Amino acid sequence: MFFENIKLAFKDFGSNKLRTFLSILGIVIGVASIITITTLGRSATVSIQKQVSSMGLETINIFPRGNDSEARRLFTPELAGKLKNNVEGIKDVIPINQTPMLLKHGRDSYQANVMAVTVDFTDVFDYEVENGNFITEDDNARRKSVVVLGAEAASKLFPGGDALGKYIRIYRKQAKSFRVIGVMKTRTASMRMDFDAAVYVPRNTYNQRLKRIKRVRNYVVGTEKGTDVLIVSGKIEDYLFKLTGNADSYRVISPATIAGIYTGITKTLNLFLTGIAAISLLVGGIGIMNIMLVSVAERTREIGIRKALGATPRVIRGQFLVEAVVLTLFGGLIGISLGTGLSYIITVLLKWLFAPQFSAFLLAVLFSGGVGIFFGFYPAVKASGLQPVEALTYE
Amino acid sequence: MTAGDTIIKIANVKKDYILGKAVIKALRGITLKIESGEFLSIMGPSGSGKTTLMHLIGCLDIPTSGKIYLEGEDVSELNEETLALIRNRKVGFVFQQFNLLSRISILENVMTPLMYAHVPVKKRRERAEEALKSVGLSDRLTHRPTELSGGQRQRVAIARALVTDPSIILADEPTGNLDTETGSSILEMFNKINNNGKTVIIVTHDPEVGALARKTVHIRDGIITCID
Repeated sequence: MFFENIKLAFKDFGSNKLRTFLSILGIVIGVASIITITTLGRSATVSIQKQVSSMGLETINIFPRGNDSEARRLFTPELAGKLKNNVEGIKDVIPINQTPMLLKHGRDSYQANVMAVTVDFTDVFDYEVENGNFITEDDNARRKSVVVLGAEAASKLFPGGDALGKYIRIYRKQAKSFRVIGVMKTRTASMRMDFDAAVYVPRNTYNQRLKRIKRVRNYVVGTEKGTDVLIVSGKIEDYLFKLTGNADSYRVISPATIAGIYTGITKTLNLFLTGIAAISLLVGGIGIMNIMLVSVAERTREIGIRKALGATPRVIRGQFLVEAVVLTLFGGLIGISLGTGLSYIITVLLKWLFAPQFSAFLLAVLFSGGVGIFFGFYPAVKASGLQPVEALTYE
Repeated sequence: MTAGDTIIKIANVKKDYILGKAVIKALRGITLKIESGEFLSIMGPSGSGKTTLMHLIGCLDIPTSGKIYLEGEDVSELNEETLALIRNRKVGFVFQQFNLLSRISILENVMTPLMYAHVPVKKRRERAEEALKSVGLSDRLTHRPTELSGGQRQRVAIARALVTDPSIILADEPTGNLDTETGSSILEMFNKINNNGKTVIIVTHDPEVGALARKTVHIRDGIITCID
């Protein structure tokens, strides 16, 4: 009988196409907006994550917090080794020190961050050389006066290109001459590091010729492949807390945590918007109830005939309930296709990744079916409660 | 149940309708026994209560007071759920306005009572086809009721009434919307149905229809005036 009811429902809609369409419009719009919002929300999250991961999702930054002298004392060059030996999942720990200094080549000058680096630097940041070489172990050990230029620094100091082998002057109290041994490819800035606008000198050279390194400005930790950055991050915090006993003296932060914050914000926003869209589903449900009540009134005589033929109130109730559910499910499916199409177009226009959420589809189907049951129930009960004699003689 | 047994027993049945503030006494105390295999007509002018009586016999309604027994079972105080099952099993209705479902084919119309009796689809189709064959409409199975003449529609209604093999056939002015010739052929069908052993009750105000029945109950103002 269930299948007969579904067949009957479709027959009824077929004979009243415009009315059927108008009555499910509310559901269609409601479901379409929910699908659009959830799909766009997810697409935004995925796109942000992708962008953040280009900043280096495998890295963790450790900064001192505030002017606490205790905190400053923690950031010694020795901490790198301690971290690496005591926390699982760490591949490299890079101490970062940088100072803005004036650079000159001939008449061209440029204010840049001069960074003290070691050979691991490029590896941890996925940073590639465009021309020449990066700083080597040997450069550092022998405290050579060599420099590698970031992409922007190179173009400012050598507008004509071809910087390799040339000498630039770095001003620190007095001019000091450095030979350019490499130029880097351009790279997205991240975590207080503007790669392109910086120049890189061996750490020991920096210490001896430019600025004495007493405390490390911050550490960048490269994690082992396959480890969960957030877990390693947590372990580092635990270890630092064990060392200092003061959780306010340092800050451990990674692109992954930032991605987490962004994801959290989009999720909240998404939930809020979905809630608003759900209200339109409610309104759609009322539309369904209205049309079902009209349908019951129109078909009073049919109900009377069916009752005379032996349809129990339960059977009549089932028939109208199935009809309401078929109606809303139909609307839900149209809404899903519309919403998916719309969000696809928007993601293409915004150049986001298109990330549809299949659980949202399932939820939309269940929800629209639920709306059908909820709002179809009263009309169905009304139909089943009709007196057979009155229904049969209804004009 | 063999011929001659009491199939319907009506004991002092009264039925009131409330219309606004007025109480309309449609039946004022009817007592009647109908035997199995009888061909009975209930006659009376409009407003006499004959249709009300038919509704009560057919379990479409329950009396305000009094008792009705169908095949020995008291049906006067049952709920709608149970009444529906009794209608489905024991009674076949034929109405003046045919009362076919207009949006489905005549085959599906005849299959409908079997659906409510939970007969499997294949069996439903077989039995409905057979019933339509018996009223001479095998070649019209997929037609909609609106595509048929009045006489054909009434034959579909008869097939629908017979398809569940009920013991009682109730007809309310079955020839009221038909011309004389078609009406006669429909009446002939009822005669045949009766000859096959079913109890046939026809409600009418047409004396010609009444004459065909072997027994006629005359009703006026909600009471039986005479039986002949």
